[in-house]
Amino acid sequence: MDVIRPGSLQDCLRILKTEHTIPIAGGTDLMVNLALNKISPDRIIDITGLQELKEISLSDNFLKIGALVTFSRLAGKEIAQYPCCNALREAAEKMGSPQIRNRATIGGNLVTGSSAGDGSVAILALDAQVELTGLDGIRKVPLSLFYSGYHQTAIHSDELLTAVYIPIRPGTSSFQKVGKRNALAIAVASLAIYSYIRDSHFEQIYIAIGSVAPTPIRAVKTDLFLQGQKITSGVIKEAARIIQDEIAPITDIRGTADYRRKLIANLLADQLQQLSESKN
Amino acid sequence: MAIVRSTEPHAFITGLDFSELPSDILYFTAKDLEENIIEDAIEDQPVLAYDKVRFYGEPIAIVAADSHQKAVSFSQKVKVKYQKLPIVETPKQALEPDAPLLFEKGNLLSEFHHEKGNVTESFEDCDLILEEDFHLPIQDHAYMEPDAAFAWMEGDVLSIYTSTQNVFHDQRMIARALGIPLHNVHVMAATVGGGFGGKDGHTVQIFAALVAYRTGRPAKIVISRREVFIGTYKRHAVDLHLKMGFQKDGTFRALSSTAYLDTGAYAGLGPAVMGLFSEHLGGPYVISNVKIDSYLVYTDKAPAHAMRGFGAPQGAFATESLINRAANILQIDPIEIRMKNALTQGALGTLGQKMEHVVGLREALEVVRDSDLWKEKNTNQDPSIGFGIAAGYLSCGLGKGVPDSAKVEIDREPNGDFTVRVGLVDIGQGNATALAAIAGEALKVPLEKIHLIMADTTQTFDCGSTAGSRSVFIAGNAILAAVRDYFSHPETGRGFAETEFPQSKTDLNVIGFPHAMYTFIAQAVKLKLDPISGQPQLAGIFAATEAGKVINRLSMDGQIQGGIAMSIGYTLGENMNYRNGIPDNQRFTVYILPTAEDIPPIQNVSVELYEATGPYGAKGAAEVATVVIAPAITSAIESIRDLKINRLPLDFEQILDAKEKGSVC
Ligand SMILES: Cc1cc2nc3c(=O)[nH]c(=O)nc-3n(C[C@H](O)[C@H](O)[C@H](O)COP(=O)(O)OP(=O)(O)OC[C@H]3O[C@@H](n4cnc5c(N)ncnc54)[C@H](O)[C@@H]3O)c2cc1C
Repeated sequence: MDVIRPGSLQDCLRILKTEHTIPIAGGTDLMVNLALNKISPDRIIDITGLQELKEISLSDNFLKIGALVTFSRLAGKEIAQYPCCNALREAAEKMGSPQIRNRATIGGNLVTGSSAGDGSVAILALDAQVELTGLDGIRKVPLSLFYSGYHQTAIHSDELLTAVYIPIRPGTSSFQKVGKRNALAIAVASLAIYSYIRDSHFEQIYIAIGSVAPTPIRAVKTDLFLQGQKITSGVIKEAARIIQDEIAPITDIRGTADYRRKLIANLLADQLQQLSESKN
Repeated sequence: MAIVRSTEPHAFITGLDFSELPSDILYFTAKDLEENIIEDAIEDQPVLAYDKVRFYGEPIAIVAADSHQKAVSFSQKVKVKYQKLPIVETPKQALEPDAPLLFEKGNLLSEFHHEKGNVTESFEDCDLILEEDFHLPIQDHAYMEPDAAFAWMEGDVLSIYTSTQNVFHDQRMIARALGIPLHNVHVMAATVGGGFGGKDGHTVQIFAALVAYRTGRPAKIVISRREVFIGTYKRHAVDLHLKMGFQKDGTFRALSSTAYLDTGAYAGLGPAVMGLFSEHLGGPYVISNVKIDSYLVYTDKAPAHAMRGFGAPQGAFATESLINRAANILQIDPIEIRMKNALTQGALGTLGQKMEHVVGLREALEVVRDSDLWKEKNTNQDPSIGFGIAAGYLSCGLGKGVPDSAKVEIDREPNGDFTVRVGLVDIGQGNATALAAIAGEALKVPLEKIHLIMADTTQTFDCGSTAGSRSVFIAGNAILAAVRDYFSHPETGRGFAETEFPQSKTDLNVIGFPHAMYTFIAQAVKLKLDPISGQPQLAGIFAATEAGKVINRLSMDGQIQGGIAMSIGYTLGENMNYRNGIPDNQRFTVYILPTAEDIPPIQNVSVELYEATGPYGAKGAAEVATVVIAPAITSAIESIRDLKINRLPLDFEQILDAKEKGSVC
């Protein structure tokens, strides 16, 4: 197995065209899969030298986050200034451990496509788009269309995920997860909400949930129900009921389907409750 | 080197095929051993399985190559043919009349029955009787360093560095399996990355020794984490039914228990673990009427063996849980109820054994009562916050009838420094620091002038195992005696002594228990129950420990904190969980150890009573902190939610669900 470290994005994309070649960013997923013999590439391209993939910038009301931005950075000041991106910062704070956060990148998190990906779930609630770059050009895909199946995404094998675009809007977002311990915990269930409340009513609300389906998913029915609503205890109860109906989690080593349903309902109720309290 | 391991939990081996191995890849089987037995108290375990495998992961053959990678990849090319056998999954199933048998002698390895007073009658007099079924899981030691050894030949002498708790046992084990004289085997402990009981037996020593001996070339083995999980010793799972009778005033009047300990496929130190389980089951209390029935049973799982606490945490979970519930029902403060029944020096323990040495349980309970953490219980207004307490004890030394001594030599060097030779291993707990301090103090020289040589079969004398919370006590006393010897004839420049661990005067006609001396603890916990997930968030732990006089405060606190952390894992998530003979959790990704974020601030206060027979007043302190934090935690949860937690690890879903009063988790 060869490891190549190209100097430019163009070089990188050219090499990616060859068969059995995959990029490595932080390696926190890839190295695990190598060790477990789940993958056996001929060539690994180390993309961590590509400076242009490490930028965070704001233009036209979109926050552009380079694919190589680490979770440590996502948990820091650069994201903290945008209340609508709180969910991403909170997810980054709770992700892995300091060592993992220092290496793991947002691009790797998205491309891995785990339904338990903390960054993925948070960003999904932020109505973001991903930028996929190939030799033939750049395409932008809304994150809600990015995931196609268990650990499968819309990226082609000769493309790199170069950036994520998050619309900067009024409103706030939040992220919570339940793992089996307080650090280094894969989510048993996770939930992120972006919402904008005007005159006590939800002007806009997007809910994303993790670990309850093959991919991170949006809770569209619950969004629809909450749209235009005022947060009352009755509404919270009803939303918690709807979201439980909306999902079809499975039982695995980390938790039963039932437990996951309850966790999602509780996470939703708790975050709605917090929203109602912060509003007052 | 690599190990070919069984992929079946229970089967006859009908064929071994090495034909895909090229000639430069070497392999070794049972046939290459002079005697295929792991020397131990009960000799039922082969070094390499040859006719039958009894657990998933059991070693069958060794593959050696000039690189680890090669050895591993060719070990996968070895074909083992099996004739599958039905498996034995639980001790109760193992004892059914038509159960499949692991050994022809039957699945019951050992049993212990003890009766004191009149249990049947005394239950009739009780004001409150509580009884429940409890289940405790299989725990892995999760030592940081996987089992490892490095062996090489120098002439006739086989030298080996191992990760071990007892080099002299390793020496006997290797010599016997290879059929070479004891003096041709030189064992040294490397700096050990944790053992916790799991390295107090055969890990990989004989494998490395075999390859070096047969090839004449250096041989190194380091097993993978997965192999540690599937292939090495574990803590015993226990199913027990416990019944306790109380008087209105809180007196513990009667206790009866029937317990099944799951020792896995081979005995290991199982019989001794069953002994200490039975000895500690009643807790550090005076209980006049006791009936204990314990069964040690084979199943098709990795052998259970010594693990820090050695059978005590399993029983303490049940007993302390019932005591906390009784205190609640009888409306007696949980500290008061323990004070009332606490053992004191001279009192008789569960098995009728006398407390022959200093006992500081009441003092420890008092310290907890006065702690800020416990006082907060009375002022707390938050219904999601709860407090729990438990008390316990753990024996020191190897127990009745087991040779338990240490020989130490001290030599004055020409420059006035001293070399102190101690055959024990420092397993990471810091006994080297304590022993050097003891030697320096006694020889009246600064610590820098003490040079310890430890755990080397050529340069030190047999001091037994670093186990049984004994090493500072036994080697400390031997050092003090050797110093006295030196001072009686300083001109020789040499001091030598052998000392014995005090043994209990009670004889129950069994080997390994009871003990003469115990260390005592009381531990309190504060936690918050997360209403979203049913998970407890530990907020603080206050521990009071009476382990005699403390030699080194820092390592003492380290021992207590480490022991508590280990049992927090036991409580919150650790579980090997065998299904159809195969463990679910073979990686740290799914075997859930607590992280630093899960361990709350732990304050330990040592109640420093002076133990007259100990070195500078010390007793043992290495294991006791594992014994009771689990029931303290579950009691705190039970104070928040009206439920009974009768099994570990916690099932967060059941805790979240527990809406009905008194539901059992
Ligand atoms: C101990 C541990 C704890 C963890 N805890 C968590 C946790 O709490 N929450 C969580 O969400 N995850 C967790 N993870 C998973 C992992 O850290 C994350 O998914 C991380 O974001 C992956 O990023 P990376 O840069 O390391 O990706 P890599 O491992 O380098 O790559 C992952 C995959 O994405 C591809 N890839 C990477 N970057 C790009 C790119 N720019 N374009 C195209 N393809 C790309 C790679 O080819 C590979 O297939 C944990 C992992 C470990 C080992």
